[in-house]
Amino acid sequence: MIATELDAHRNPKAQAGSSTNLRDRLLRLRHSSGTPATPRAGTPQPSATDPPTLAERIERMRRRALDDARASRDADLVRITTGRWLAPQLLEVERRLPLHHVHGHVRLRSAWERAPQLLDSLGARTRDPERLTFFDTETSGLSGGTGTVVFLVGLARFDGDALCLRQFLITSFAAEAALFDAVRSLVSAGRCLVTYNGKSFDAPLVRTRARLLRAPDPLGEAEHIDLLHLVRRRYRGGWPNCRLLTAEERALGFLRGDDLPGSFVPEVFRRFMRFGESGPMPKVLEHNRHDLVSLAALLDPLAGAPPG
Amino acid sequence: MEAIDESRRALQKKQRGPATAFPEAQGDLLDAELDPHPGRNHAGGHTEALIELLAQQHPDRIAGELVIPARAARHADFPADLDGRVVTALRARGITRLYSHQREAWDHVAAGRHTVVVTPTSSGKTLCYNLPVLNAVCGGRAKALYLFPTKALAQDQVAEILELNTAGALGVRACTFDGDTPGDARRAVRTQGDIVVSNPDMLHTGILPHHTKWAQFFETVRYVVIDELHTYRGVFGSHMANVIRRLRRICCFYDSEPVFVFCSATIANPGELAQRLLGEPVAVVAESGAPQGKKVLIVWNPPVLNPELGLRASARSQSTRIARRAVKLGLKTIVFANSRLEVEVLTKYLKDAFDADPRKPARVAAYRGGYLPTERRDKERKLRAGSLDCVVSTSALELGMDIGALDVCVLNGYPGSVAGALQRFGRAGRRQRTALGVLVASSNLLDQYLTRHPEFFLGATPEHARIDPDQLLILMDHIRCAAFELPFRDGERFGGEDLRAALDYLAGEGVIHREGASWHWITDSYPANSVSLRAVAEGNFVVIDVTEGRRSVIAEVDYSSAAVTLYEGAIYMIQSAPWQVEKLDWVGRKAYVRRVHADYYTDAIDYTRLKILAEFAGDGRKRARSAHGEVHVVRRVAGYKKIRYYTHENIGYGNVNLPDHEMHTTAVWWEARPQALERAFASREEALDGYLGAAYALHHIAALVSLAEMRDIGRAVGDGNGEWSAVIGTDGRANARARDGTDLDVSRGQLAFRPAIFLYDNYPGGIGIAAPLFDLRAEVLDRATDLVAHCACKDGCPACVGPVLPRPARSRLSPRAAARRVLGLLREPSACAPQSDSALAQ
Repeated sequence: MIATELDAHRNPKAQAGSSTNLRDRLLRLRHSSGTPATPRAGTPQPSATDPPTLAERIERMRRRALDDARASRDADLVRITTGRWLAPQLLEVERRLPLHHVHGHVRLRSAWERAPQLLDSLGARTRDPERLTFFDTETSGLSGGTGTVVFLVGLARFDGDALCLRQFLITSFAAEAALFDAVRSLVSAGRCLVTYNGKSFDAPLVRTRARLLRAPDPLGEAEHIDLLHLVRRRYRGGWPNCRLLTAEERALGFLRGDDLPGSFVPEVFRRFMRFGESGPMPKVLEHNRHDLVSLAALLDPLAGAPPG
Repeated sequence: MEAIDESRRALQKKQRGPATAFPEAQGDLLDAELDPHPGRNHAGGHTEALIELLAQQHPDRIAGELVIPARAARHADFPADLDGRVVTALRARGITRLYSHQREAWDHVAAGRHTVVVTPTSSGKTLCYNLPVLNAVCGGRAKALYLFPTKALAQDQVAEILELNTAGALGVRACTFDGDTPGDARRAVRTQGDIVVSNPDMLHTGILPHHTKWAQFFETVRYVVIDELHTYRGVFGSHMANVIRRLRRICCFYDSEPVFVFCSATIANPGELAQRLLGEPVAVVAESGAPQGKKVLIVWNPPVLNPELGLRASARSQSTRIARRAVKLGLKTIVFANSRLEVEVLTKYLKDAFDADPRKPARVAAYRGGYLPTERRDKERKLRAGSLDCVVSTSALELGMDIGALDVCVLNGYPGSVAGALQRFGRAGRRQRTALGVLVASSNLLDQYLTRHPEFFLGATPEHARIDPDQLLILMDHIRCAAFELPFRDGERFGGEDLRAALDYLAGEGVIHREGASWHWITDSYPANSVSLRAVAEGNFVVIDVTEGRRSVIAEVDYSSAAVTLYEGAIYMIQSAPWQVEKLDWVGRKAYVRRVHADYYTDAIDYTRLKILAEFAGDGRKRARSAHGEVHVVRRVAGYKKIRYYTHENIGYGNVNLPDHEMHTTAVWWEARPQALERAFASREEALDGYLGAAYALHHIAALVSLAEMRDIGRAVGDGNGEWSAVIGTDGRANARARDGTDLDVSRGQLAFRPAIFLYDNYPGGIGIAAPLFDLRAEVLDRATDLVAHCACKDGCPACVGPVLPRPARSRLSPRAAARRVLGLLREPSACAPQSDSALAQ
């Protein structure tokens, strides 16, 4: 880019000739307004200057190459996540954790046993732990707004003597509608959502994205318990903050170890979409499963008498 | 010295002035106690008395006068299809019929036409949009979005709607939605507000990126009202046009297609501006049917104190005197000042005169930004109720806040645009009484120009408001925001550029991702947060006073002038009170300053090198040519000089270490043919003097004719090849600086000497000022020539060619004479008069 700039200065006429190219104009302007121009790593050049027929051919080739890349990327993904295709480009990963599983120092069975007591104290519509749906999403960003994509939804429920986890991952925007259909079918009426900060983040985002697709609300009128509010009420003051990580550490004795930090998730998604890098995706799924299991386990300490 | 000058002037005046004059040296007549004539106590009488007083005592200070005769009301009936409840509400407020412009607006809007209403202040403009909106809202499920440029105006508007609502039991819910709206109230506004009153910035960052939460609202929005249209010009306007594009895109998603109603103060091209903002034809309602009392506008020039330096008595003293006189005559008076500090000073002077007794309620108040909203509301209420006699304000009251009508409006200095001045004058105006507006000229160039050409101002040809919605940086910012809000689809259009190329660019950056025919946002960011509607790319600098442990923001400086005013060591002046910059945080956009007592000021040594990249159009003549096109501007601040007051001696230098400020923008330029230039000037130094002086005059005139602020336009003199540029040297005369900042000897023959004057758009990419300036090049040159030719000074002054130091030697042409000669060359063929100039120079 610097070379181009210098050439331009030396030769105004050459510059004038190319001034119709939007990319060049932008680069020049960006340079002048002090914003660093982002290097374009490995992206195809725009074909705007080519004759239309050639452009069409290149476009067709590009599409075919993209399709091929996507197919191989998706095949990789199925293999490394041991999931299955629920619909085109919608991957489902299922796991069952027996209730005798210990998360931190909390046995899931204990959470299951104490859930009715907690639900009762909250005045919830249901007392039945099996009507609870633990719910957590992974997104392309943390700022919210319509441009934030929900690409992974994890749901968990008590089912017999296990916690049953189902995760839905889209590998293409085309599968968003199918994703929300799947969620809707699992959050049917009479169920109660359990989330961590879901009232301000996950639920509005899911509703926003569904609305963009003109699809019905996947969460419907389901009851919603946001554990963040309970944790705040109970532990505020005693803890440095009320993030889920802190709650896991302090209330569950659970340490994530080499878990993928939540702040890395958006970049994994972006690189997956952009370059087809599927390698880190299993870590995102694992991260999301940790969240879900923690949600279930947190019922145990929250149901007990307040500390102190 | 003042006394001597004053008496000398008084002497001159006595020879031709009215015989009644007291000796001027004893003080201004305006100060003399003079009770209102008892017989003049009828409507309008006091204002007439003031006008008479001014005209009789100081005819020489009145540079121009315009009398606008009273105008009778023109009425129209309520439309037949107006909802009965709205009629009831209006009748309850004492409105039994409409003014003609209100009815005209109704008819356009009812027919589904986008409409712009341009009528004077307090002509019942708001009813032009409130009528159709209330009618639709209380008649069905229609909703409306109102946008005002400031939060205060939004609150004012809601109060007005609520009054109508109560009067007619309309059941209309009107609420503001802005940064002050509490979190728990936001949901209610989104789902239940019938009329949502907000501002462009909130729409941009808070509403559009969350449009799904507003789904109910957008599905039923039928009207969008944009008031104070004239504020949307330049950069802000270009951004606004794009916000409107995004708004309409979102409405389209929800299958609604609202009608836009704009309201504007007087500008030359309201229809064109509204159309540029909206991208569609807009019907114009420009004939006010509201009654208007007689109105007198005066341009007032303070007396000359020092003709050598072109120094006049301060505008502040004159404004104070006129305002004092007005208040003593029992006239409700508003004084507009151009800075917050000036407001405080003027308020103090007037309070000293009227509010000396603390037991009595105050008669004088200040009103400006930075006060708490409650305090401002209180002042507005008192103004409406008539319990205040005088208010001193910044432009904060220029906009449509309801403060009732006043008798006298004094502008302390030209506010920078004709439209702004007319808008302020609009504050004075009664239906039945005479109103007076006085523009008190300061010693700035534009002010002084207007005193010599009051017709420019009083002839009321307001400026054209210009925007460039497709300015590439601004457009790209909003394409990002729009892509975040809703995925783009192939074949969609957004703005005048090739959207596909823009999307390809963003995809290349990895911001969006193409899948099938859609372009999805895939980045972890919220683009609206990094786009300020009020600037291009870079933010303003705040000036923070750290004197005695304070940490208060005392000023804001725009990015482009930060480097030349806020370098470390700089004396930063606010109304001539000095602060010194201790630390400049360039990245954080902060300057920390401390109050000092300095007998010097600092002047940045900066070079603006400019290189022509492409010429879009040119106009070549025999001896000169002008053109406009794209340029590359590099501005470097290398250091600064410390200059002592009054003596102007140079008492030291400092170094500055700041990054070069570079930009690509558009410019208009003028140059004389080399042979013609060599023939016209004995030396190249003199020619450069002339070029710099001419550039100074052209710069000011260009701002005047193009509705731009001075800072929107940059100026430079140089070779157009980035090799050298001309600056004023320490001796006060022009010399040339080379690329590396060293002095260049232009007198040597080997240098190709082709100086040109550049006026450039002072924003990266330009905001559309240069091209119209090229079209107006003849007018700009004519006016600048006239300005320099008829200035009252001798060798040059800040009112014509810029500050001039006392002449070191008589061997060189005076800067003013040199500038005249340059302008004469550029202005061929008619008025080149080197002969008379050389007589001056000898």
